Amino acid sequence: MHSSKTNMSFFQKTTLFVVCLSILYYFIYTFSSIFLPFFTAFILAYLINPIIDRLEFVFKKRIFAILFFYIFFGVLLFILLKNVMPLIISELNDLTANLPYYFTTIKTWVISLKTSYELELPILKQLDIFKTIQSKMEIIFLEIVNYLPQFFISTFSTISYLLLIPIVLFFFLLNDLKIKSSFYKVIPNKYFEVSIHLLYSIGKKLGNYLRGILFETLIISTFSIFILFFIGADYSIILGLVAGVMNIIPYVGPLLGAIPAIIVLYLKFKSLNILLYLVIGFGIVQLIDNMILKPIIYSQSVDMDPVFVMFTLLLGGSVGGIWGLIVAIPIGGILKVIISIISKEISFRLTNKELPT
Amino acid sequence: MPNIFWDDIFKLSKKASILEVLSNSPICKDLSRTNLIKISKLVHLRQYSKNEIIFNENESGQCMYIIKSGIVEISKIITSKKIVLTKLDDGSIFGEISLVEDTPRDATAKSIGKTEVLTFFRSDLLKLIDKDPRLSSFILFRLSMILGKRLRYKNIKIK
Repeated sequence: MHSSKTNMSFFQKTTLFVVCLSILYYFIYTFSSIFLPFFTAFILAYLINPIIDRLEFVFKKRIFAILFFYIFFGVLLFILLKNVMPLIISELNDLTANLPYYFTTIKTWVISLKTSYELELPILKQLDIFKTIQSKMEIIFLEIVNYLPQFFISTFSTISYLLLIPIVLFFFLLNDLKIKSSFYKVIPNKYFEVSIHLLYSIGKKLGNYLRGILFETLIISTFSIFILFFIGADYSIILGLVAGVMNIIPYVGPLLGAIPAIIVLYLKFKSLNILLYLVIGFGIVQLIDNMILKPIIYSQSVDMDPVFVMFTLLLGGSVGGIWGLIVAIPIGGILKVIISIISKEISFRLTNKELPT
Repeated sequence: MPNIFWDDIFKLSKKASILEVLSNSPICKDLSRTNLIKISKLVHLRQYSKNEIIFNENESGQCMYIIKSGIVEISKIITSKKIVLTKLDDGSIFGEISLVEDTPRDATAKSIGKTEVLTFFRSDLLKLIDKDPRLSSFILFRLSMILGKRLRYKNIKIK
């Protein structure tokens, strides 16, 4: 059987492959900063493509669909930046200025808790739990104080990226099919059908998942912001956004997201009644999320077993921290799709081989 | 040997020939040129050398094939004996059931000589249903016509 057009041996092929791969790796490694806008544009193109596909049906030409999307999104972004951004920035400034205050009050709070508990349960003194908690908290808070302003500056003020990403994104969207098919040409005939099917399935699930997550985060954030605003919490926008983003992490996320809001609220009002309102409000948001949003979002993307989700979360968390937690579910989903397709392929061949005709 | 880099730098002849093949295939017959161009963006052109297997029996099928040039032999193994069902040439289609259903392939397809085929994936058809319902329903209509024809042929054979 002729395997390909060129007559290379297996050894030659493998060597060529390894050499190409190492060159590619070196290239990406040395110029990693240049690749960042392209990578971002690639991910964005991935998310926006289905919207453009649908718009293309209305506008007939793809370029008009993309231009319409750009104008629409530009106006939206402009309104958002003009009205919401100053609020967020002022909140952020306030928060960074007040963080030491929060830190010291929490510290005194922990110390008073420690003394009262150690009187009742002397065994705690031996275990020294509070000291370890305190030292851990100190590290975390210092990290947050250092990291928060830097994070916002580094992500929002690199003008070159802000200009480059939309341009690259435009061409990614415009030449979507061309880019894909030129990539498909490289795949050998033998694996063509299966690999394209694999790519399609992964793309569909991952795209649905990412779009769903974006939608979910947006809705949960808005609800949380409104609840915090009506209760009368400071920094309602930032705390609401934190709750919304943390909500991405299954099971533990909503709890983690509520902790900053609880601390800030308690330190402002110094009463537990107000916390009850917050817990009820966040509970209703979780109810909406779990009963309405999640079934819609996850029915078309990743349907994974809860135990498997827990396992991937723990694995992701131990490997990559917070980022690991966030990317654990999509990566687990991709692995699940790959395994299910390959196992189906194998089972097709096995079952039909046992029963001839 | 033709110079692959310079002979047809804009690939115009390739595009034209893909449109021609599509317009001659039973599934895209009578479509307007704009619609044919839309379909031509979805199909992938694949080249097979002499005696290369295109797909094996019992592999999972994901796409339909349209022969652009060359001859394809469709065979099936019945009681450990290879039986050639048919030989197809330019413009004919095979593997069309996979366009609607995710089932294993019924038969093996092998290229006899050097063959060029266009592949049309089920996922692309599903996307096209969202994108352009008119065009995709026309294709589905054509597809059901072909499947109906095959069914009738089989019924006659049974009688």
